[in-house]
Amino acid sequence: MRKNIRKSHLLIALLALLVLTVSIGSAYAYFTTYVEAKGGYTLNLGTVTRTSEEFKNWKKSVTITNDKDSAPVFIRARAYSGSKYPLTYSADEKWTPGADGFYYYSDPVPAEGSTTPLVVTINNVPEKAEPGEEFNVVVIYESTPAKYEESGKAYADWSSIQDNGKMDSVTSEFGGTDSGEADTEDTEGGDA
Amino acid sequence: MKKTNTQKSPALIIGLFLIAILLLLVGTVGYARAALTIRSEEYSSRVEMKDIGVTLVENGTAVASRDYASAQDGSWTGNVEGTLCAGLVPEGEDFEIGRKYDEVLTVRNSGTINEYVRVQIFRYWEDKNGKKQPELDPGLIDLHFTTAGGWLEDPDNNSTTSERNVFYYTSILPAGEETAPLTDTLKINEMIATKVTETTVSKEGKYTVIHTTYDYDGTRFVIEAKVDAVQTHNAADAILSAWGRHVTVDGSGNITSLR
Repeated sequence: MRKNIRKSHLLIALLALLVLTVSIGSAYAYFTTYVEAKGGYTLNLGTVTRTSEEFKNWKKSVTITNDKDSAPVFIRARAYSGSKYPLTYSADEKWTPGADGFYYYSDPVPAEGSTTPLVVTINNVPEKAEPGEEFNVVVIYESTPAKYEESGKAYADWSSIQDNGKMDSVTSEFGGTDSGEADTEDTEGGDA
Repeated sequence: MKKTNTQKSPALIIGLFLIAILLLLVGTVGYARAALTIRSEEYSSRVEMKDIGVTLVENGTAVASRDYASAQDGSWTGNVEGTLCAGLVPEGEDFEIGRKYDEVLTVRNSGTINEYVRVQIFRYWEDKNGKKQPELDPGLIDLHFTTAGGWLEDPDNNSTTSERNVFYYTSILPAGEETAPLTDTLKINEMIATKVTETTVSKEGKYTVIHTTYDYDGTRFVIEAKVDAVQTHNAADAILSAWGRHVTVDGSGNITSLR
């Protein structure tokens, strides 16, 4: 008898399993599928710019370079000197004078890119100066990261200058060793 | 006594057996009915009609797909995980902050049965090690949604956050067809250039140097899209089962409400 009861229980269990299997099968009968994708870009907002100057025949040739991994920047520059030695500028069409005395470089300078030279000529330099007489020419350049209109056109927002390479770029002394001779100076500007 | 018990046991077993057979039959009939409902319209035309498939399309190019292939041993084909934004910026150019780039995302039914689709969009920032930066604002990743084409944004506040948006295509997406665009442009808001952590001014010899640290410098914006598709037959139950959402479907198969 015990054997029969055991058999019947086994049979019931098997049948219940079959019923459950059928039910589970219908619950998962929906067809589904999926896909996914992702991506993006790394943004570089910081900038490091450097100036390179060459001084020869009372002319300073200034070139500004944007470092590797820097964001594209717009550049402007100007120079100061005493009224005794007025300055004149010469450059290609990419440099244009602004009403504020700065010269503006028209194109954004990309990472590892450079401006064309901005040449500053120092005028009224006496052929023979008194020993110890000196003058200063101060070159200032500023950069701001390029911003873009929705169309992709780049523009400069000079209200948010982030890189200011203000510097006393030249101190020349008459009678010194560098008067009117070649002189190159590299200067690192601001870094963000 | 023993005789009585021996006689009752087979009766009980037979009774239970009959009940089980009845349950099995009911279950089988239900399943058969469901199968007939699924195949009732197109069963006679093509055997492949039961193949579901979906493809995510970015700017006209398929970037990820997963299609059931009953003709080939019932396996899945396609590249389930794809890459977005790969062709956004032309070779040799930098990504320009503030510029609007084309980012048209659509979904194609690459299977052989009609389906409903939904898309989950995630936007967030990562550091250079790929770690998510929840403190940076996903809202500055301006992915423009175009829901006018038949997409319905999930009204549940728990589903929509600044990082996540969920959209349901309210119409049936027929086999071989493509949805209207869900997005059309992508722009990184130029405001990120004003998010400055620290600015220091220092003197280095004759020079004044300004150091500015930007919150978003060196970070990576990420857009992630997850597409789900489900069969149209027994739509409400199928969607509830697959996506956990209660929907109302009208006579044309359009989803009219979602909760």
